[in-house]
Amino acid sequence: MGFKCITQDELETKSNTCLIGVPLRKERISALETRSKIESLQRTTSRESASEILIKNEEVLEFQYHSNKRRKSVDGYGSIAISNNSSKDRIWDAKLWVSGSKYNDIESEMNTHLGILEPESRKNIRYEIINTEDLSDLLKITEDIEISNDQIEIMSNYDKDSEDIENNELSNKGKKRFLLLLGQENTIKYSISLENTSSYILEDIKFKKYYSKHLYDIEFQSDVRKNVKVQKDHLEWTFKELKPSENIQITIFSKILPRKSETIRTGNIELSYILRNNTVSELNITNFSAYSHAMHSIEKTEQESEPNNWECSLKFENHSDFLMTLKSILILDKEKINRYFDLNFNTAEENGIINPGNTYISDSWKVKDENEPKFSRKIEYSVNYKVEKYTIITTQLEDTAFESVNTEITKEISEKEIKSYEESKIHNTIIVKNMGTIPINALTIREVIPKDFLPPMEKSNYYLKNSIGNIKPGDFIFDLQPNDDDASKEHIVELKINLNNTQSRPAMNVDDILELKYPITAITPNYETDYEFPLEVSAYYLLYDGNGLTNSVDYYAIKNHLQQNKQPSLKVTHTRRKWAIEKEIFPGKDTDDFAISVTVKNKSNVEIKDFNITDTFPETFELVSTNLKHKLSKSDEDGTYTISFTIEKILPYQEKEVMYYLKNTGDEVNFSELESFLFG
Amino acid sequence: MSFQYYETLQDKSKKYLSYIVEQIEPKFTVNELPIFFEDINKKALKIKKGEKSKNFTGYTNIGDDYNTTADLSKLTVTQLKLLFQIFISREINDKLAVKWRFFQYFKYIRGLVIEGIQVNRTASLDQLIDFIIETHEGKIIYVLCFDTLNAKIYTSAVENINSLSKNEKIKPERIIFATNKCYRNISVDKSLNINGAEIQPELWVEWIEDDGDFNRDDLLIVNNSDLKLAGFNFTNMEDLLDYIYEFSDGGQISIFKQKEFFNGTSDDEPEVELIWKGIMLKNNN
Repeated sequence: MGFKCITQDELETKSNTCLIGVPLRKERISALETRSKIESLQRTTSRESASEILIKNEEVLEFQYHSNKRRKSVDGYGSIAISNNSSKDRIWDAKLWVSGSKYNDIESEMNTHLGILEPESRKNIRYEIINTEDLSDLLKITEDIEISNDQIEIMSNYDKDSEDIENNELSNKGKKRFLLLLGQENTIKYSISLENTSSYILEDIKFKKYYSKHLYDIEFQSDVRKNVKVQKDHLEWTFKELKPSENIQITIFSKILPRKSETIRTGNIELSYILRNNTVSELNITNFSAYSHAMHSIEKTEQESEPNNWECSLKFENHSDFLMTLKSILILDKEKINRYFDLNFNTAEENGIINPGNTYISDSWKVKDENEPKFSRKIEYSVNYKVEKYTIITTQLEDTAFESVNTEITKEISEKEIKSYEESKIHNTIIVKNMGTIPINALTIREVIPKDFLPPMEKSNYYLKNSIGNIKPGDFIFDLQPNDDDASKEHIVELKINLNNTQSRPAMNVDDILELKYPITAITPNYETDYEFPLEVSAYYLLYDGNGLTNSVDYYAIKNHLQQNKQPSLKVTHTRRKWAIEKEIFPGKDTDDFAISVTVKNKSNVEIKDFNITDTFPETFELVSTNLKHKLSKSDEDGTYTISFTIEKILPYQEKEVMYYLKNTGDEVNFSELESFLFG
Repeated sequence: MSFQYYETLQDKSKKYLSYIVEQIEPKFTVNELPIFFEDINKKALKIKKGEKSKNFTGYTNIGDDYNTTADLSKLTVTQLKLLFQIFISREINDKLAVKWRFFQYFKYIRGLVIEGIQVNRTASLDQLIDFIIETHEGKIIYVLCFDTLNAKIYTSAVENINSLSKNEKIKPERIIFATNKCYRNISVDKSLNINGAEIQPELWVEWIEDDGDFNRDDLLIVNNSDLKLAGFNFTNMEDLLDYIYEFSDGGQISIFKQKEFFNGTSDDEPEVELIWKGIMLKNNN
């Protein structure tokens, strides 16, 4: 939870999201300081190179807009910086007259006594910009985002040309959603336009469009191609000015391949620009006055030929670095009754401006006095000043989020093999998973059942459930085309969930699973045909948030197919059986010995399993041995032995021989009984 | 998933929330957690009848049981969500959220030995001092927390501090203004006269580096200790280093990050990257 202790300098100049307002440009202040120092090296004597009192009125405003272009807030403040740029001359009794407006918290008429300003010093007056909700936008930013992908389509369930709908229903549109298809490449096109809606020239425009770091192949088109820099997560564009009503555009093309379900932002837009010689809050600096080094005197000269007659004049010398303006001169007698000289420079032909080091000498006046004449005088003057106005404006357009969407389809069937030309039943299970970051408003599942197979015709045989439980047949629409049981034609099964009711609860929540089960009957499957069951799932998402109250909606439709390699394989086996059992008796070395051979020959392409062979021999023989595990039993009635064998399997076109050896133990031998009943 | 908003969490189950909230560092102690929830729900301090307290009016001691750890397993989903939104996504940025994030930060702030902390429990917006801290040297530090600080609020806060200091006869040593966002029109270089003492105010802002060395969903591993930390606990590298300085033995330290450890997808071979290497000298070394 990192906090940082920051200094005044960092507060004013650092850039960070936690600091509101535009940072002061350090270099500008430095430049001002440098200029003051250079000027201080030379004593100025001309108007062009005089030091000056600079009154800089600067305002900083930050406009913030929601992603839907509606204004979120405007904050701002202003400052009046009064700088004494002289390197040597102090000014005193400095006063500033300001008239406010409804947009700042300065009183309508304010007189501020600034007192003394030492050389190369500055005094600041700060004020807040208020009633900002009434301030007009100076710049209109519009951003349109288009996403293109082969599988995403924008559709409507109404006639777009209908005027009624256009006027009445679509006005309820909410925030537009932007969908990215998971696991697929999406092309994103940002079309951004900037329009100067003010009567000012907007200068030094710095535009920044942020975007996700996951974007690639970023290209742009703009009216002014130069001064555009494409960075990893943003694009910078600077241009000199935007005149009133001028509109300038930039289009950014990019691609993105979202690999996992996560929220990707569309990216903020940040913009800064300046208004030169203007402030937004309509503050007016009406007057400034201050004194500095000056000398005034009255020259009194007694006339050569007229004693006691005096010719007098006033001399004013500007001893400072500043331009000074004489405003008025008033010369009275001691009692302040008689006016000898009265000059108001506001109405006089002279402008009263005195350059540094220069002297003003008034017209003379005459007075008769036996003694040295004495006068009361009042001289009004002030150092000159210069006003600069400057506004820095930043604008931020909030971004919104791209939503990642897609469905995952899996399918299972209960039988992997079925027999050719025989009727059999296959249980078909389709599972759809919502892999995206938002719910799916509506869904259709469409499966093609090839000829020789039939889906159930009754809706009740289709079982649909989600993570909550079974979905009742009344809550989805079932369609079968053609609606018959003719297996010589292909059939299309289609289930629609929520399709005509998108404003209610979604068809599938995030991460939810939808399972569809229904039986398919193989009627006369042909082993020479490769059967395919194309499966397509269409997911529908509302184009706008919050337009659920209208029946006319725009929506995104995203079609997803079960890929060929993910389809379960169904094999139609064609098996016809054929085999032979041969028995042969071989006489042994001794006359009493016999070997009985039984050979099973599999002459078909079908594997034979658990094949049983049973043979009998008379009680006058005894069993000596066998080449295969056997079972032997004796009949209680006639004493005949029964021997049986089980052959586990015989592969197609293979044979297996069973042999057993008998020895005659009796006196009478009935050899014909060796050729007794063989069962197998 | 970068833990930017609770609403964008894929898994909002209690099991997952408990798991992720358990990763919040530093841990809350047994006593801190109920005070936090009462305060954040704007429930004022209950003073038992006849109870005598050395505390300032409306303040209660906190953090004395620093060697205990609160049990988070019995928290409700609502409480877990609140912890998530204040300390993980940091999407709640009101005064109380800033107050408790700053309290967490105080547990590993450098260069300050804290003897005791008293937390404001009046639930009143008039009382702006959120923490009164007594240092090891017996000095008093005021901490005032804000969501957004501008010149007007700052001026009003200074008046409030003066009033409390006079009433309680305190001469604070330091005054800290902690805020989530701050306007630039505040004069922090101008000293304050509080109850006759000249004090240089301190402005602390929640400093977030967007393109830092690690992300919220990274796991941060400190090589020579058992420290494994979730990236969301720290807003910049300096912040992380302060924490490691406080909670490790120091010495030669290497910090690694395992990318996107907490984002729910795990690779067979996790990518681990060195993000900082250096030596931390501590007094006990």
